[in-house]
Amino acid sequence: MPAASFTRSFLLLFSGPIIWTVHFLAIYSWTGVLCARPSWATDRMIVSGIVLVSVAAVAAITLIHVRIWMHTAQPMADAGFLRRTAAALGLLSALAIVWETLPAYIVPACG
Amino acid sequence: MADIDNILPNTAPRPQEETDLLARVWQPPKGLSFLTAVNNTYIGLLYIGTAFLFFLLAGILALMMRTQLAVPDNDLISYQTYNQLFTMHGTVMMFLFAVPAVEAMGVLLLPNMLAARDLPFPRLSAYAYWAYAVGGLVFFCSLFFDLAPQGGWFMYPPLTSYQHSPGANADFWLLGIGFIEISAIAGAIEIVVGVLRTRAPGMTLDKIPIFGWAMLVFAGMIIFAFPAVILCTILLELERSFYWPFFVAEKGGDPLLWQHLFWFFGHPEVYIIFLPAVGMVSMIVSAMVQRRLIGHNLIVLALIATGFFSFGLWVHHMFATGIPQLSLSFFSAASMAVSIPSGIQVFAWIATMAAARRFKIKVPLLFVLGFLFIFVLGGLTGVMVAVVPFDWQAHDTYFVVAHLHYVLFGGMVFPLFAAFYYWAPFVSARPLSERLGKWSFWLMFAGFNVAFFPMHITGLAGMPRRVYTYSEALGWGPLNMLSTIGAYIIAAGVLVFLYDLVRNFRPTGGQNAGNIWNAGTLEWLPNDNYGVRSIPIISTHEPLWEQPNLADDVAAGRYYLPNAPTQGRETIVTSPIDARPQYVLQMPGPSWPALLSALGTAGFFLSLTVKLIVPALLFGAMAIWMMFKWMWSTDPAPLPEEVDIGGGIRLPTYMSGPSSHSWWAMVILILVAGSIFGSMLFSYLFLWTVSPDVWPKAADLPALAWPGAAVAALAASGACVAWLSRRLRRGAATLQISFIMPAAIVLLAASTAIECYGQLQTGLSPRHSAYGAAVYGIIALQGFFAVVVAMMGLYTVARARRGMLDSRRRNTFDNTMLLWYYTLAQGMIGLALVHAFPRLTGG
Repeated sequence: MPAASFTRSFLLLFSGPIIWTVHFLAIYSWTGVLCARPSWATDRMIVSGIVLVSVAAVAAITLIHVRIWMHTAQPMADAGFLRRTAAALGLLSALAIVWETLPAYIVPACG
Repeated sequence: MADIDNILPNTAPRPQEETDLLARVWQPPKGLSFLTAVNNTYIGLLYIGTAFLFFLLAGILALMMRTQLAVPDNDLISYQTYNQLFTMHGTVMMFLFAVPAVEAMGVLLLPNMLAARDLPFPRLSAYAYWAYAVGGLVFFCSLFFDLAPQGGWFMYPPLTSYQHSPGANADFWLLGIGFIEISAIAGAIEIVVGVLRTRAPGMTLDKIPIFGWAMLVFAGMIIFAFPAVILCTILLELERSFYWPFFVAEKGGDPLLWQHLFWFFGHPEVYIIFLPAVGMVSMIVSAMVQRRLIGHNLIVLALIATGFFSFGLWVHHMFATGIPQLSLSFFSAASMAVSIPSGIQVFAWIATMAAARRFKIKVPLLFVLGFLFIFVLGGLTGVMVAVVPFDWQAHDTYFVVAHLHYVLFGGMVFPLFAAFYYWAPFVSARPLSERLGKWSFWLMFAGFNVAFFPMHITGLAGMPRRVYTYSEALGWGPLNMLSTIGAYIIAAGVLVFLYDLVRNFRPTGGQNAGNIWNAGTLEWLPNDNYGVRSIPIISTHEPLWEQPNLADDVAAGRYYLPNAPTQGRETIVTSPIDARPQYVLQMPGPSWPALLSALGTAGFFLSLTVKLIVPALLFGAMAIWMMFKWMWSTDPAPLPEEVDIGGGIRLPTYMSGPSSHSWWAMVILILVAGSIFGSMLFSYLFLWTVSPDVWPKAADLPALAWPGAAVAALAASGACVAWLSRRLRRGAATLQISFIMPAAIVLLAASTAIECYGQLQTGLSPRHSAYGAAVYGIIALQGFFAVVVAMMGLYTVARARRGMLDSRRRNTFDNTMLLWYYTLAQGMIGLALVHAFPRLTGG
C-alpha cells in the first residue's frame, strides 16, 4: 500500500483525537491570551468563543465519521477494526470536548 | 505432508547450509568486540540490565533519604546533600530507569513478537544504548564530587539559573539529561518503523499484539513530548551560559515558561512510562489465564485515547501558580477525563481474569494483581488532586509523593517485575524461581504500602516535600518511621529478586527455556540469534494457539525467508496496514562506528558540562567522524536486485521513495524537529503574552527588505534541491549535484546570516530582553539545522562523486532533501512570526 494512503488512513484513525488536540490548544490559548489582554475582549466574548470552537469541533468529528461510514467499502481486510476504532475514538474525543467546555459555564472567565 | 507443502511457501526438509549460514551471519562477535554487537536481543538485555542498575542506585538514594527522615531533627545528612539526593533520585528514576527500561523491553521483545529478525536500524539502538549507558553512569557519579544537580528533578528557574545555581551542578542535569533524550527519540524512531513496517505477513493492524500497540503509542508520545524538554533544556543552558533571559522576570522572561515547557513533556512522560506497562500486563494476563484478552479493541482504544489526552494535562502541575481559574479548569476536566481510558483497561483485565479457565496464581500474575491494587489507589488520589481546590491543599506536600509513587511504582515497577518473571524464559536458559518470586513480591507489596500509605496522612497533616528534616513538635515522627521501615522492606524484596537473578538467570542466544506458559504470541516461537528460522504468515490473533503446527513449520523453514539470500542479515519489510511483503531489508552486523560515535556524543556533552571546551570539540569531532563512517555503509547497492523468499514471491532488496523505511525514519525525525520548533514558537508567543512591554513596535523591527532577502534565499535553495531531485530521476546527476548542491548550501546559510545581521543592525541583543532571546533563539535553531543540512548536503555530493547515487539508489539524496525542505519551512515560518507578528498585533 503506497505511503500516501497509509497517511490518509492514519489521519482518519486519529481524526477525533487530533480535533480534540486542536480544540484544547485553541480554548486554552484563547482564554490565556484574552485574560492577559483585558482590553481586547469581555468575559462574555471569551466564553462565546470557547463554546463556538467546541461546537465546531464536535461538528467536525461527526461529519468526518459520518462520511467514513457512508463511503467505506465492505468487506475490509481487518474486519472493520480501523473504522470502528476511529469511530470510538471520535466519540470519546467528542465527549471530552463537551466535558472540557462545561467549565466555561461554571467558573469565572479570568478570575 | 504433501498437502502442507502445497499451502506453505517453502518445502521441507531444508538444506543444512541454510541454518549454518543464518547462524554464521547472525553470530555475536567475540571477546572485546562483543561491545560492537547490534542484535536487538543483546542490546535489549544490556539496556534492561543498565536500566535496572539505575533503579538500584536511585533506590539506594531513596533509602538514604528515608533514613534521614526516619526521626525528627535528624542530622545524618546535610541539607545540601539531601537536595542532591532527592534531585538525583527523581531524575535517575524518571530519565535513566523508567523510560529506558520500558524502551528496552520493546527493543528486546518487539522484533520477535512481530516475527522480524531485528529492529530496522540496529546500529541506531546500539548508539542509543551506549550514549545512555556511558552518559548516565558519568551523570550519576556527579554525586561523588558534590556536583549533582540540586534543584529538584524538574529543575525550576530561577532557582536553577545563573544567579542561584552558579556551579556546574545544574549544567550536569541540563547537558547530561539532554543527550539521554536523544537516545529515547532514536528508540522511538526504531519502534514506530519496526511496528508499522516489519511485521509478519498477514499481521494486519487488528492482529498486532497489544504490546505492539502500546509501544507504538509510547513512541508517538515520545516524538511529541520529548522535544519540549529538549528545547527548555537548551533555553536554560543558553540563559546560564550566555545570559539570554528566557526565564528572568526583570528582563521580560518568565519562570512559568520553563514550567509550561517542562510539564508539557513531564505529564506525557508519566504516561510514556505507564503505557508500555499496560501493554505488558495485557499480554501477561491473557497468557497466564489462557484466554484471549477480553476487550482487546477497547484496550487499543484506551491506549490511543490516553496517548492523546495526556497532552492536555500538563497545567495540573501548575495549579498553584496564579493562572486564571478557567484555564486551570480545562486541565482539571481533562485530568479527570483521562481516568476513563485507564478505567476501561482495568475492567478489561478484571474481565479476562474472571473468564479464566483455570486461575493459578504464578509469580507474574501475582505482580499483576499487586499492580492493579496499587495503581488503582494511585489513580483515585490522582482524581482527587485533579480537583483544583483540593490540589491547593495537597500541592507540595507528601500527599503528592504518595500519589506519584502509587501510580509510578504500582503502575510501572510492578508490571516490570511481572514482565521479568514472565519473559525470563524467552531470554534465559532457565526461568526464574516461583518460590523466590513469591517472597520478592510479598516483601515489595507489603513494604510499598507500609512505606507510602502513611504519606497520604503526613501530607494532609502538612508535611512539605523536599524537606531534609522536620521538628518533633509537629508529630510527624511515628508515620515517617513507619515509611522508613517500609522502604527497607521494599529493599529486602528487591534483594530477594537479585538473588533469584544470580541463581537462575542465564542469558542465551538460542537455548532459551521455551514457552513454559503456553502463551499464544510469536515471541514464543523457537528462536535463535537470527530470530525465527522462517518468517510466518499470520491469520489470527494468538497464532500459537490458533494456527496448528505453526512452531514446527516455522522451525522447519516452511515459511518465508528460511535462509539468507543476500549472505547478510535480513528481514522482510511489509506494508503498514495489510502487512503484505514489500521488500527485503538488508541490515548491518556488529559495528565499531556506532559504539564510538556514542562514546563521542557522551564525551562531548559531559565535557561541555564542566566547560572543558577543547576535549568537547575533540569528542564531538570523533562522534561526527564515526557517524560519517557509519553512514557510508548505509544505502547499500541494490545487489542482488531481487531475492526469492518462497511461495513464488520475489522481493526487491532496495526501496526508495515514500515506501522506504529510511524515508519513514526521516519523516519521524522531521516530526521531532517540528515539535522542537513548535515549542520555540510557543515560547515566543508566551513571552509576548506575559511581557508585552519588552516587545518592539513595528518601527523598531528590521526593514522588510531583510526578511524578504532571507525568504528569497530560502526559496532559491529549495528550488535548487527540487530541480536536482527531478534531474536525478533521469539518471546519476553527479555533475549537477557537485555544483548545485553546494550552491544550495550557500543560499541556505546566507538566509540565516541575512536574518541574523538584519536583527543585529537594529541593535537587538539576545541578552537585552526576553524578546531578544526569543528572536535569537529562533535564529539559532535555524542555524543549527542549516549546519546539519549543509553536512548532509556535502556528504550527498561525496556519495554522488563516488558513483553511489543514481536514479534507483537515491535514499541518501532523498533523506537530505526531506530535511532540507523541513529546514526551509522552519526558516520561513520563523521569519513570518518574527517579522509579521509584532506588525500585526501593534506591539
